[in-house]
Amino acid sequence: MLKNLLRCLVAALGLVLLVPAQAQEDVSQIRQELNELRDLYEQRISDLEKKLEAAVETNAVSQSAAATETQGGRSVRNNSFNPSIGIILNGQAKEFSERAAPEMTGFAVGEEGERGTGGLGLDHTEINFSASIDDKFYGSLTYALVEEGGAIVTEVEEAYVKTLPGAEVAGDLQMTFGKALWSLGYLNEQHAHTDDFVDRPLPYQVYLNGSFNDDGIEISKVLDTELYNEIGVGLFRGSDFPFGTPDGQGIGAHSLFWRVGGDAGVNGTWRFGAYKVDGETGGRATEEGAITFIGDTDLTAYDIRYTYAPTGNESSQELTLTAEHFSRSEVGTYESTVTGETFGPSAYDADTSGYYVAAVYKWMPQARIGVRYAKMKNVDLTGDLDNTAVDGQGFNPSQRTVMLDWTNSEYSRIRLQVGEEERSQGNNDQQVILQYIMSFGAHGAHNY
Amino acid sequence: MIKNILAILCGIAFSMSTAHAKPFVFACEPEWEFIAKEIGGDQIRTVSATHGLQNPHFIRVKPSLMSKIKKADLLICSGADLEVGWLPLLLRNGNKSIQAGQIGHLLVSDYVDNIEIPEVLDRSMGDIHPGGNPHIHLDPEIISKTASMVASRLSLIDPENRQIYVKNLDSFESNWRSAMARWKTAGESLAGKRVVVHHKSFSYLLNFLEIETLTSLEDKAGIPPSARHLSEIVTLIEGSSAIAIIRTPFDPKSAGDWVSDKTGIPVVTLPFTVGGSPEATDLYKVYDASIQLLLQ
Repeated sequence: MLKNLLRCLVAALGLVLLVPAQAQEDVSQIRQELNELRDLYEQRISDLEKKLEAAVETNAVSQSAAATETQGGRSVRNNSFNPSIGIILNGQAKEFSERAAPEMTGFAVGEEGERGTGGLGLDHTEINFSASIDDKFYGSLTYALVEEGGAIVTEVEEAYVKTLPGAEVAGDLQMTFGKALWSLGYLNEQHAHTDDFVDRPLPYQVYLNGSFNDDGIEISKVLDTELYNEIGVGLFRGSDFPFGTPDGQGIGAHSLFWRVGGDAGVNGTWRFGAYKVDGETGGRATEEGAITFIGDTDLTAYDIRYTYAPTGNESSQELTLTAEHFSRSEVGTYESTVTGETFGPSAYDADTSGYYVAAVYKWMPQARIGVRYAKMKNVDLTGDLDNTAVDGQGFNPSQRTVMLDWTNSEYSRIRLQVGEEERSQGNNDQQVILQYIMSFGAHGAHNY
Repeated sequence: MIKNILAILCGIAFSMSTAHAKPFVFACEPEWEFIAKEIGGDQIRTVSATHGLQNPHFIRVKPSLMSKIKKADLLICSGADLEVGWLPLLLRNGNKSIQAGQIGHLLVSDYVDNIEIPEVLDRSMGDIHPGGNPHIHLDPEIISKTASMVASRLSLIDPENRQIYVKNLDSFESNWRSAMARWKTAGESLAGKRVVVHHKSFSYLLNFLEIETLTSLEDKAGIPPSARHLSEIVTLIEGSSAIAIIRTPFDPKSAGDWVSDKTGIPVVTLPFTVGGSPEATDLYKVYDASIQLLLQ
């Protein structure tokens, strides 16, 4: 046993002693092979480097060359069509069970907040021009032709300049100035032709007269986070709903907003936003100029949106859920010149609110169905304003809507909408609206 | 105490400014992300705006893309208006280095010859692309050309790792060339055969394999086929010999299934791009699987 072990040890020792001699030979051989390999490799690398240099030379070496080279061999088609021009045609046939347009209880509303009359008619016809002005600025102009009281009125919906990344504004900020659909709730930033329903939900009609597109400037920053995180501030003239008649000096209104969003799984997205805009109202004319508010207006909005496309293709199937909440706090005076309902400047200090929730489901590429519910919450007033147009009188307006639309291509859509609106007590307005929205020319990307 | 804090702060500031951040490649489609990974390897980070089951022509600019485009050093997209519905908006919210004319801006169609450039531009013909067919990644020659463009762009963006990019390009080149030879041989028996396509998504691949396109189910690009057009196709197929109706994973199924029912010609869903089917995990396998499926 011991002998065996000893023999084993000797054998092992012998092996150990033998190996170095063998290894010595191997090492030199390996070293030689390695050297050959290295020579070969170095040759290869330098060949490749030469190849790359040649490629880079023809492609784009120096920065100056790169500027022309990176445009490739073909003409850049976007520039040959400068500016982009897009036209939106939009018309409706409306039928209402209530002949006379009912008033909105507890709120004095503007032109876009009125229900309007039925029958056939054009809605907004939009004309948009947009282009990169140069490497630093992007400009966009959107006109709307609207029929108001038998005459065609031209409205400037947007006329703004936005800084491009090339402007390198300090702190990586983005600036938008001019007249734009500002960041205030989800729908406000969208052009009405992209809406999922014919009309805007009640809070937009009441508080924003459709949309807030005052003259002003907005500065925002996308934070360097994994989630999409944007904060911004705005300074405005204070001439558009929810404000009006600015004193013409300094800033009439300011805003503050924060938006955050991200993915919900591979094929879903979500976003949330909080917005605040407040300012002085020198005189906001409503109800065709008959009711005027003067004072301080403070509007707060929250929006939340979720989209889900089962295969990732919004174009074939998609569900979108949107909800927005608005609250308005006002301190000032209301005055009315409505015949038979006049009241002098009377003190007003109240908070009202409104919200809507909407779900739209595209079950096949060309067809969608949507439902929406909206409700306003007004305030019952006492004193001078008791029983006036701005008094809640114990009734809150609401809106229930269902729509069905058919989209032939990304450029044409026909929509049928039925709804029930109760703007005032006992006024149960049944509505049927048929609408077409068609576009031609350039068709810019829509916001997320 | 204050000194210590200062020292730490200095340290942090210094390490932040000198840290060599890996180039971040924002690819519009998975095939370009694949090429970026082949060339950049571990030296870069990548993201693709779309996945293999998405039709890259129609996606919405989502919040997560808005945050990613801000950080991109190199943008690689098909171009030729494929991304026209969403890329311009993203670019306006991106950073300076990926704008048109910069090293970080690579629209592959700007450098290759697209086929099927329409002679008449009118939307009554459907959603046509004035720049020609943008589904260029199914042309293996274009892939090889793109790989070298990506290598030179990455080398310019990140010169320190230039040798690695060159080396990776070289090995990709030789692998891709041998794969091309393999596909040519494998697809030999397909030459001269005819197929019906749903949308002109595969024109480049069909050209490479010398397969003829009998017709497309879509009468007008981007507009679902009409019943009348489909019955005309049935007649057309009956009078000729098509081996299959081919479609992408994201084309609607009903039209192809209906025609297949009437004519007995099989519908074949090809992966189209990386991630287009469970086995299509890279671009080699997209070509492999497509040829296999066409041979069956």
